Amino acid sequence: MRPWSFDLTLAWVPNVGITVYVIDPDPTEQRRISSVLASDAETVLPFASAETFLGSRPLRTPAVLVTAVVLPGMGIVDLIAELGRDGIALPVIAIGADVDVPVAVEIMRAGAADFIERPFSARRLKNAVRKLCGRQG
Amino acid sequence: MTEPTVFIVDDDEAVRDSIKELARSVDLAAKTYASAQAFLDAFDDRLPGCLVLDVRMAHMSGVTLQAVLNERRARIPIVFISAHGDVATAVEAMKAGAVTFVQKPYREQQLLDSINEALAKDAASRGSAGAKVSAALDALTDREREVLDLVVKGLSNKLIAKELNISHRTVEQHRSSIFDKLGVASIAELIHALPERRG
Repeated sequence: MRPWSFDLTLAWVPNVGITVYVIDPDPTEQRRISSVLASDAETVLPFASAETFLGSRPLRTPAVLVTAVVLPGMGIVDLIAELGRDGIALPVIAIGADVDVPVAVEIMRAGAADFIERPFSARRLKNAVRKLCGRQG
Repeated sequence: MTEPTVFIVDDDEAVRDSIKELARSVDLAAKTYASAQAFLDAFDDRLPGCLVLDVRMAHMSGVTLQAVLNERRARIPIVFISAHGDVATAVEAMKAGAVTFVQKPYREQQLLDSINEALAKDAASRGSAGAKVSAALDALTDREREVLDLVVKGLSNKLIAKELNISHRTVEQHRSSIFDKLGVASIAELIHALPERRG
């Protein structure tokens, strides 16, 4: 079940203590995502798997999770379900390459807040994070 | 009580008729519309059911119709169908609150399962629990909605206070009022009580 978010139009106020968690088994992708979001986040914390990310709890707030669709070990759907079970309001942005509609839909139904196709544009990812962490200016 | 109806909107007559037959085959009432506008002209949110909607249609698209319904705060759950494999469109439809997105060619059972899921969601939102939550949310003040939005995003009371430029104590009061109105005692309960996002 996704948390309900109200459709408020919020102006972006940068650097208000957002933590971005990144899960990607590929270190190059971790770095790319981190550099795109560096100016919007106070902290970017990269992980290579769902397990290592979950092992780093308790989670900081406010925060957003940007995760690759393809993960070693625990898959993205199970990860989202685990976060939901714990009642954690952590929005999840999934990033995937060569994904077909049924897979993207399944991930959205599991509770992801957004899904971005690779190769992703920096603008698309930044806007997705800003929308989820939006603040009144 | 009116029985739930499967409302089918597609500008392709063959598709409309085949989905109508499918619904009828499991004793579901069904109504068809050849355009989004025709559906909107007949739409009454008090009627139970769900909407099966094609993404691409002449004039008003399925996605635009969804936006119009969201603007009207309509509750009817939507199952999208599409002949096109566009992930971005499917994702936008899901973000805007669709129950699911079925690609053609689909297995009939898959579409039926989706329709049944949508009907169950509709029944739940109209049932006493769903209606209570909707009524409770409507009863929140504007400020309480702002606070709720930030609580759901995971902000601490301290950050919410800073964000909204009010005192920590005021945030606590709003939080307490929100929890009381929604009949929950914890964040986990709160999140599970809230309906799926629309819009």
